Amino acid sequence: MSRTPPRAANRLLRSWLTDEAFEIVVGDLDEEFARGRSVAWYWRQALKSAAAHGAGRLVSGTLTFTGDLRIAARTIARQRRLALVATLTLGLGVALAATVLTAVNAYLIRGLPYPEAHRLHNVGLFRPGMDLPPKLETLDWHTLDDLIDVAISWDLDLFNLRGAPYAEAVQSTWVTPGYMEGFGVGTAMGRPFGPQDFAAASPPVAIISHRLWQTRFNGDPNIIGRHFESFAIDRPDEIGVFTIVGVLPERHWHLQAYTDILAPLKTPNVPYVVRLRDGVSAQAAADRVTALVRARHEMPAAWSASVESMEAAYVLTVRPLLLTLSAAAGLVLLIASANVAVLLLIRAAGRRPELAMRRALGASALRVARMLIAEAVVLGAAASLLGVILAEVLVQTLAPLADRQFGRAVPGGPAAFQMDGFVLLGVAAAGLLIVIVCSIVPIWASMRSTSSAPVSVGQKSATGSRAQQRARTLLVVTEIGACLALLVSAVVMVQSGLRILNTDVGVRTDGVQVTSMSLRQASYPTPASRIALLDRVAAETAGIAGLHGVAFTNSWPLQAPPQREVRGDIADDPRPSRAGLQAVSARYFDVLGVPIVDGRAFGPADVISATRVAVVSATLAGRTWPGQRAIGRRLRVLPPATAPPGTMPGDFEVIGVAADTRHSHTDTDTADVFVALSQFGTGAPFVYLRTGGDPPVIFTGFRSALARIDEGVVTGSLRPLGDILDRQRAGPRFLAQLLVVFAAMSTLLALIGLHGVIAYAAGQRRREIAIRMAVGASRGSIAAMFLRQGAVIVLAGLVAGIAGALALGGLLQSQLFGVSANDPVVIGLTASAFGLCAFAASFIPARRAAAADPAEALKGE
Amino acid sequence: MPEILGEFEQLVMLTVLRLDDGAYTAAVRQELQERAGRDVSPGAIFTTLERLEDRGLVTSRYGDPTPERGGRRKRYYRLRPEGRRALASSLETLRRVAAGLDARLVRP
Repeated sequence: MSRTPPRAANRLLRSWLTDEAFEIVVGDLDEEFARGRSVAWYWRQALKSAAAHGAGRLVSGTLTFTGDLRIAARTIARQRRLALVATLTLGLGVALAATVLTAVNAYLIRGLPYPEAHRLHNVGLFRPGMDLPPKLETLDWHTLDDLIDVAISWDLDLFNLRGAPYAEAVQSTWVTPGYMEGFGVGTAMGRPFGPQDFAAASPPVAIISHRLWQTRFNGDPNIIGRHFESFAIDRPDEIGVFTIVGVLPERHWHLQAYTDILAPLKTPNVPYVVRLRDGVSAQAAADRVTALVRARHEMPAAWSASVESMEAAYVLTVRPLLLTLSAAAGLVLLIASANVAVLLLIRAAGRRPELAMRRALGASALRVARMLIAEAVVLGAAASLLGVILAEVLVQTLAPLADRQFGRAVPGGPAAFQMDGFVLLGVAAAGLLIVIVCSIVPIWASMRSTSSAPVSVGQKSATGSRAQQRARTLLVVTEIGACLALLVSAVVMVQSGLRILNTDVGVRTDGVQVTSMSLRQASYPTPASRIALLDRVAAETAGIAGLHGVAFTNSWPLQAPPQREVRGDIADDPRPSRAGLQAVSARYFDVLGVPIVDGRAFGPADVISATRVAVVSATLAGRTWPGQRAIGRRLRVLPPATAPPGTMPGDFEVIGVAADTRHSHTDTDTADVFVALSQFGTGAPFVYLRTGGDPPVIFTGFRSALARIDEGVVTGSLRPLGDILDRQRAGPRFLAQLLVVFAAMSTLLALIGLHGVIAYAAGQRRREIAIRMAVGASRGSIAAMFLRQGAVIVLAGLVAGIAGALALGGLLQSQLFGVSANDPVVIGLTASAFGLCAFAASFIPARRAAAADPAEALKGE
Repeated sequence: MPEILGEFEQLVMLTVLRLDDGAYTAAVRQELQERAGRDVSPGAIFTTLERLEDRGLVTSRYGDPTPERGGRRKRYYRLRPEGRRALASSLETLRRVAAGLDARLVRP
């Protein structure tokens, strides 16, 4: 009875040992087996041999691998075009991934630059659209000390610095002891605030920013102990002389930019942020805060306080943007890797004689694999290096823009928008991904093709092995799928972007500049005095060259004004209506280019003593008095729910109907009431200047005119209204732009990949084509053959792509305005268009194959 | 300075020396099993000999293929002069260091 050694053990050793070792080791095993050893013995020894040989070679292997790398580098460098295309493609993919990762790191991973920032939580006591209940600060917040480690509060303010060198309004904050402790605010010079600084009778002290120290105080080394004189907008009657006790570090960052001056807040205040004790859940804290407020105040049944992670709230709008970008960058990297893998595979097929030769000369499968891995490592390393260099350029470009593009200041400031160890680790991971994709597939294919069947050197196979062909097809299907997913995202994002850009906010922003003014309470104690000042400003600035109009409002530009419940004068009107309420000056509609479609705008007759008048938006007019003329009707504006009891509603006579305006591109409710600023006045008006010349020059003229009236009135900085609108659109537009770039890049790559595969297949099958044509096949049928092959790949890719697009759409939806991420029409059209392009990419090589002269092709053999 | 040899390397080289012209891998394995009582895998034997050959301590040649080896060749090894010197020096070192300690080793 003849026994045969276990073949599986044999195969194992074949793949694990060098050919040299294989011959000897298996020879020994077979020899002893022939002398009567058992199958179990054979297996045990085979496994031990594999392990012993592998361990021994691991040591020497790492040494020889550096040699492999050198050879690989030379091999790749010899094929310049392949090396260039592969490195560039992968490098771009890595650069995009690294840049996106830098942003992810800056916003999502590193988090806010406060000590133990995860314990910081925002406390929300608001009801949507309503003011805070009064006197919340007098609640006994200390009863929550078992949950709350530090209660943090502050009051943002503008400090108007008086005296030399010039009057200046700087962004400042009144801070509580908790603010300093909870945010970990330290000083670079001087001292932080101590408990004595918060005592009611203590002299005013301040900590100033590095910037203010450098600019206003010229970096005076003896700054500690110097004084400055200022009055704050919120406390206009307290002209304070502050002693500077400290200077903040240069890199101090806070999520509100009001950090030029910090001064102790001496009155109790509601905590806005709390540092929870370790292990306390946000929900537990919210429940206790709710109970505390309810104990004193009657609140609506549905009301509850919110306690939510400060970090999560800060990145709420950035997170979906970054996740979408991450997914997109990942797809681009995948497409790039797949593309290079296809190139390598095609080359591997071309190298089959070489690989077969190596095997025939005694190189083990492992040895060949090591060679292929070495080549992938060289490519991956070159690509990562190029990627890091490109990413550095991108990051440097993006850092100063990041605040604006992402719509949120970078935590820690623009200097924190940098590649760090984490990002480099990510790049390394990307490099590894490249190495894996670019080596696994060729290795797998080469194993399949060289170990199973002996290949005679120089044999012209049809299209490489089946395995290689399948691997290529799979890669191109992946590419097409990933690419379609990106394309769909880009299309819907652009669609949404266009919709945003085309959304008419109803305001002519060109030439309109915005600034703010602040009036001191002491100088302007009554509404009448404030109104008089604004009238004078309007009159005195009228003659400034290039200034075509000045308007005032009491509401932030392009931000939703407070919503109020309004009632028309239709008896028993069951429909309560809400509208945004703002007070505007006479020329508001004219300066902002908002047409009055019926009636009139405010005029000089609308003074305090006259009948209170209102202009309503067309939407509100139509809603309140459907089918009737609004002019002359009465409109009642109810007081906010949080107003003190007994507050009277305001009754207004409607004198005009204005065209609808939006406060932002996403503002869907255009119901608005405008009341006359000339009947209410405001101490902190926003000023719209319609300019027809150089804004800074005109602004200087405006400021001088103002100074002639009253030097004590402080103006803020000047911003174009269009800028404010642009800023609102920045996030979606940025995403749209990036996705278009990503999608364009990947489309190009995917089409190149597809073209390459078909062209290669055609090239390999020249002989077959020639024979087919020699026996009568038409050119059409040859082209059709390749087109069919292309069509199958394209269709499979499109199916994968639609699935990918649906998945990506989930991430994208929150960034879209008025467009669905999963619109079947968009997906269908994009898939068809892309499918056509892909079909064309396979058509060109198919036609070329069919056009070849059969005689030439056969002669080539 | 002769090469420093590991314990297993010494055993393998001594066995090659003992087997003289018959020192091919399977024989070395069996000899080691009989004399040293060690069951070492063919892979470990080959790897060790391969390493010794790389270091210039042994030399090898292929023999003829045999049917019981499935048509594969044997590989015979001999010590090179450098190998002999290294082995001698190793054993001499061992002897010197161990001199006079035999009695103590057997004492309980």
